Amino acid sequence: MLNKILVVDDSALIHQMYRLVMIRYKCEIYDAMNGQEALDVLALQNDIQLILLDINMPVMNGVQFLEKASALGIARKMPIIVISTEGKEEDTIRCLKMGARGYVKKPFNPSELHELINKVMSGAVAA
Amino acid sequence: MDNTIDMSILLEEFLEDAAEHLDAVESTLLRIEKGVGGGALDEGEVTLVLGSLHTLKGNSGMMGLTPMQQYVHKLESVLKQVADGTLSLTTNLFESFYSAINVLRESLEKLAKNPDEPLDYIDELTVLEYLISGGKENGNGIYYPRKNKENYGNITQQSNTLKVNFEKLDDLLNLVGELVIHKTALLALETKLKETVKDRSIIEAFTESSQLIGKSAAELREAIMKARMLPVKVVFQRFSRLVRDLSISHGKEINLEFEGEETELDKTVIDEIGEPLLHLIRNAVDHGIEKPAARRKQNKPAAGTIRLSARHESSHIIIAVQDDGQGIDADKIRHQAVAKGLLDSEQVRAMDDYDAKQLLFLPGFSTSKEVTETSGRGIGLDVVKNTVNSFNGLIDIDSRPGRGTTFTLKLPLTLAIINALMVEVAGETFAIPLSGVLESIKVATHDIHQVADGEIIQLRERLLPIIRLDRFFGLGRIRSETQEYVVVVGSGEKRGGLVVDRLIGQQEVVIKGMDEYLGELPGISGGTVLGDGRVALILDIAALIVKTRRGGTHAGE
Repeated sequence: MLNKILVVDDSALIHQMYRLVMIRYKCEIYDAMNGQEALDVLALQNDIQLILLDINMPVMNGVQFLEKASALGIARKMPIIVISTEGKEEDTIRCLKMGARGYVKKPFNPSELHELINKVMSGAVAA
Repeated sequence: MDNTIDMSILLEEFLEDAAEHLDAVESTLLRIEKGVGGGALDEGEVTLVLGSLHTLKGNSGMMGLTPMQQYVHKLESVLKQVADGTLSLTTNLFESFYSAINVLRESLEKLAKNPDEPLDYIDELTVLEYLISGGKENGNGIYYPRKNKENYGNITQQSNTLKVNFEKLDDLLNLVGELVIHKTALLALETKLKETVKDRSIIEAFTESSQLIGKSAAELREAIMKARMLPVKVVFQRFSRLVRDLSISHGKEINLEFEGEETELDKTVIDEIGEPLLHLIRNAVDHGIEKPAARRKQNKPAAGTIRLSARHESSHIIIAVQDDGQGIDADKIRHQAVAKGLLDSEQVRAMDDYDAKQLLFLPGFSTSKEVTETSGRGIGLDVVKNTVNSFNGLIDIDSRPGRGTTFTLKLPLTLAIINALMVEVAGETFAIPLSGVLESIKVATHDIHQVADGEIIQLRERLLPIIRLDRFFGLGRIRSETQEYVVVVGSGEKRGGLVVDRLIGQQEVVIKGMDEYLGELPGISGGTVLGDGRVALILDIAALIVKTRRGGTHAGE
């Protein structure tokens, strides 16, 4: 049961899309436009169950967010899926090394994301 | 080196062309969206959009803008799927197309500033990918019965208009101006001829020819002024999309209607009215039209109407922005004015309802408690009024509580030609825009009083600050008079007096802007060439009035 998730991306358009992509889970969605905002949300909400993390963002990007989050001990508790793009493979790998459970690459087919979420939430660590 | 020049011209053409294609796509989409309410999807319209997208795709490819080419290609394939029925046309899909237009327009702007701007549409493509995955979570899938299948072809639209760079028309106007100067020289010649040539028939023939030249020049000028005129719908149509987007985001239903959109006005005015109209329309959406539920309670149709109308009236154009919303309560305004400390309760009680509504044009006035996204941020009616006044227009407001509000703008037909009062100052001729002239008076020197920040005279029950134009422009003045001629001018609510040597008369002048290398010209708004070839400077009334108040008696201050 997925109740609360956090979407971190600098595009308002993508946030709207996730609302539709995640309808099937009937979960509450929190939005952050960059890594800093994501940390703010996590400070206030302690029952987030999944984070969808974009890499390219101003102020604090995905990698920097994970570094901060790791230092605060959040990444270990919470499943994080990296939403990466062409050319950002190194950053994606760094995130995976820091504890992210999986990734999809933009533009992705929603079913790809759904499959990955199901795998991650059921406890398996995705490749 | 030649290559770079070619590229920048090519880029300019591409950008202009692309902007037009995006406009065409947008207006066709708007029509399709309106049409689908009736049930059938118009294949002809879809083909139009595909044609524009196809051309845009090819052009951006030629310019080497691969990301844009790929993005447009994706849009094209999505739309093709809609056309052959494999994809349903949902609200979300419409939104993604409108959003694509926005994004592409932004890219065009960026490219105009920096031809090497990197373009990236990954996020937009991600969303499109989601939409075409046909996820059932859409929930908005609408199926449209199709009419007969058609071939995809590029349909070019025929028009009998020609795009002309505005500068070319300005050049034509200059040439006519020179013609007029030469014609005036002929007049002087005519007088001399009358003295020396005995043969009357030659003189008559000369006079007739010179008069015909003058008539042709006048007609030519009128024709050129007409060529500079555009139908006001050029501006009106820009608001269709805006009203649609705003009404959706405000949860309101609003129809935008046009009336008299073929009415023509000079390009110079068209360039200026877009902004004020934008603010007025946003106001109407935000404060005017009520939400459907509230409207039904008042027995009004759930959808509100905003009507933009234009018509000619003598030498002006009247543009109105009318809504059938909740209107403005004069008493509410009175209270607000007192609450904000703008007036005291006695003053507002003395005002009639009409005047009370004009208070809305005072700075800092807003009757809406929340600062909303669209009309918050301090863009008040005072700014609109100032803008309209700045190009010699007038704005008025009328309203009936519960029935609606109408803003009426009265604008000159052109900003290029004005009626001016010609005056002489220390041997130089100046032009004062007649629209700002209130009256001209003779004042005895001993009635001019010195005060701390300048000079003033008494005009009936008011004190009028004055400025001596000869001193202001640093022109030597030989005569000392016992009386002065003062031209009383006004700008908005402010008044001032300009001291001149004598009044020459009224005439129409063509305004020419001053070249930039001249730098700051305090008190001058432009120049004009007189019939005898001399240059007369046009005074900037608003700027001069400010100088009178601040006691700046010299242009350097």
